[in-house]
Amino acid sequence: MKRITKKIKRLDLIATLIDLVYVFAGLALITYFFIILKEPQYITEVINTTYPVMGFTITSAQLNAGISILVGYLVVFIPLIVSHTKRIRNKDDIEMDEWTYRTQYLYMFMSLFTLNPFSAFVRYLMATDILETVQDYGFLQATKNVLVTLKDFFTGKTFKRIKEKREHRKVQSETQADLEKISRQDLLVKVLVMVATYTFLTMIALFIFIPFYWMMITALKTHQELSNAITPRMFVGISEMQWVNFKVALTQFNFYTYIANTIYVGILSMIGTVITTILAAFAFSRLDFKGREFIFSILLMTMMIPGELYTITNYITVRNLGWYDSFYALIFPFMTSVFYIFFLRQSFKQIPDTLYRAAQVDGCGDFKYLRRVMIPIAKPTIITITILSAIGAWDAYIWPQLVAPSEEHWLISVALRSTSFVTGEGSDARPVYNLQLAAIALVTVPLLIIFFSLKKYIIRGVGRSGTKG
Amino acid sequence: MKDFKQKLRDFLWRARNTIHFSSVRTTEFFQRHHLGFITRWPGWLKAIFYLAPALTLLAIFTFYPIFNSFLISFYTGYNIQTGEFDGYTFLGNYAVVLQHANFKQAVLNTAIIVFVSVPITIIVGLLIAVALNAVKPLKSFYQTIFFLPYVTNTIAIGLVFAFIFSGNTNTIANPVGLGLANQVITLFGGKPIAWVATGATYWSAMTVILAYSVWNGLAFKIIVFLAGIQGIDKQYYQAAQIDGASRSKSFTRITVPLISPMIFYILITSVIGSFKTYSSVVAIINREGLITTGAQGSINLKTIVFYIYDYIGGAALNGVMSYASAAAIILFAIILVFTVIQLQVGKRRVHY
Repeated sequence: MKRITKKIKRLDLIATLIDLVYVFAGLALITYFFIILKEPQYITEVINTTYPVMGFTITSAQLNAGISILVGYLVVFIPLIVSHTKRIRNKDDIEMDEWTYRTQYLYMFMSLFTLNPFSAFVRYLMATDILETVQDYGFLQATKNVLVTLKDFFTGKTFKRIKEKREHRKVQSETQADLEKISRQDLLVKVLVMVATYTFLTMIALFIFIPFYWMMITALKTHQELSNAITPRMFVGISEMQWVNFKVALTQFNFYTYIANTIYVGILSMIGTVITTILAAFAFSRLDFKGREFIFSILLMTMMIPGELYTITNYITVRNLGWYDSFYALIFPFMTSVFYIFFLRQSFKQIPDTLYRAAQVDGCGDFKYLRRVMIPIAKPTIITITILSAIGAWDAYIWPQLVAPSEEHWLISVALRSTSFVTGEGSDARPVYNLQLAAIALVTVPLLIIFFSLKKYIIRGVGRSGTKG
Repeated sequence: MKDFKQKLRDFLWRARNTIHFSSVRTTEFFQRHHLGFITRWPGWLKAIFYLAPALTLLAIFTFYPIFNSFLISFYTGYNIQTGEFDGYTFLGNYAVVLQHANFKQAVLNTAIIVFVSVPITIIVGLLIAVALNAVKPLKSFYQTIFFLPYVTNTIAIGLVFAFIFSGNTNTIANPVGLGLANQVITLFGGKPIAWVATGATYWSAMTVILAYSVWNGLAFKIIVFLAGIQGIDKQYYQAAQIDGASRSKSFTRITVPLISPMIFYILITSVIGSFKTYSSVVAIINREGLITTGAQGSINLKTIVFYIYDYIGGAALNGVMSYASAAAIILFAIILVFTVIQLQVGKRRVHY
């Protein structure tokens, strides 16, 4: 196994930086396109105009196609850049095998196709470098090898070799042949089981994934198509994607406000949760005081009681405090959680007690010890708690719709359920599904992005013990 | 300025020394006179400092509500604005709730959701976890996909489900449009069904709710089961293979017993979770939990929690909160009974 050299790392850095510039340009362009997208006068209307973009005039269809291509580009390249950055920042030696340069060639072609010759050139240099380090021969020799293999294949040499092998096997003794027969049967069973397993997994994965796909594809259709076509299309061409639906959902249906509300409430209650949880978990795991186990067991017992029992009195409390229909009512009741205290206490308890004694001998106070030793050690758990409480705020529906019914305090779940996406009035009212699903997508996608970037922490947290039934 | 700083520092140093010295002296004094327990109060104080934020919030929003809700459930004519009430009744509110036709329907609906969706999710989740453990390529890809439902907004994807099952031309004039579900049905030669729109039947709407519950609940179970299965020692399987055990036998005799604690944990939490179903019904049906079907009246798909929130929604009326509390306590009692039964069964069946 060969190790990555400094030169390769430097080339990687340059290529990634060029990619980064491209991604930022793409982001800027997409923002610009979204800003110039004209909103229709009436929500079901489809606009067909031309836009002046940097001296050119482009039609709506071209603009839609441009946005679709840019979105596709960003969806592929942002994760790539993140993973490259991780590899560059990684201080450990990375071992290279023959797949390393093959992926570099793949990146080279991807860069070429996305009109990025600079990055493609650097990737080419890198790939040849890796190739030389790994295989001890250069690009020319590699091409020659490929040509030789191809030549063998077309002149029938490959088949001849396989035939020879088969004949060689026939010569072998009969017991050997029997054994091979059994192993072949075994192999057949194994392959069948594998096929069955993969089919099963794929079916379930489709069942899980279809709602997301259907959400995106419907959000990009026009209202006319949804209300006229009897059988909806499964795919939409890139120039027909109605990106303006998202803009309409954000502006005309005020989803800007609702998302901002949710982020505001979510961040405040998250900060509160993390602070109270850390302090309480520290007290329950390190401090010695009478009744510690007693108080903790009472806390654990409350976890069994259904939340509806609190909700009734909390509703009265909130009304008496004058918090009805305000953000206070949404933030304060969620500033702490018994489950998170329990969860964090478990990971605090795993930190050896001797560390605490040593810190005490060195004259380190409790608070300083908590700040300097325990929080850094239990950081993964704290991050998990942060994410889970943020997801909780994003998902909250019951309590917000009960105590904050007025529109300026809606959180996204409430807004999604309460906004009526309809056109027409009275008995003529027809639901406008494309806008509704665009709003749903706006709510769902940020959470999915957070999930993909912090998958490790979320899965770890849930694997140990979960919160959602 | 520098002089002043120096002076201040000196003063603080002296003050600290004095305090420290006197505290040491006091401690000595107390200990000499067998009053050592007094000097231990700083430990208490520290604990109070660390626990205060969490415990204050918990006291206001968790402990007090539990007692108060019990109390309210015994009042009659309770007014939430003034806090006045007419008098006490011992079990009157409970009797009213239990005899209410809507409550009986709510219990039935909830029971169907619990007894159908929980076994299905557990069995399918277990199968998926076993299958995931058996494959190597694409494993993390599948794992990621299976985990997606966990990080989605329940209302949002519930609305998508409702859309998939209703259809694109779902209007009052034309209730049976071809949504994705109906399209698949017609592809196999069936007749389109009005799943949740006008013209739906009880079971068609319930099927959608159940499908969504399964979709929503799978993620969590798969992750926990997979973590359990990965923790099983490979040697058991190798030993079983040498003894000639079949795959199904090694699944029922090794995998299931060894992860029975996880299955048990999942069973308890998901039964509790399913009894509290609310958001998914709101998303799929509507905020009333009723489907109006013209002349026949309406289909009632409220769950128990739905029933409770109906009362809280009309909180301005006197005495309504007492019914809500009574219903919540009945729900708690049902959950408690089920949990105790499961714990009793689990004692015999689960291998720790």
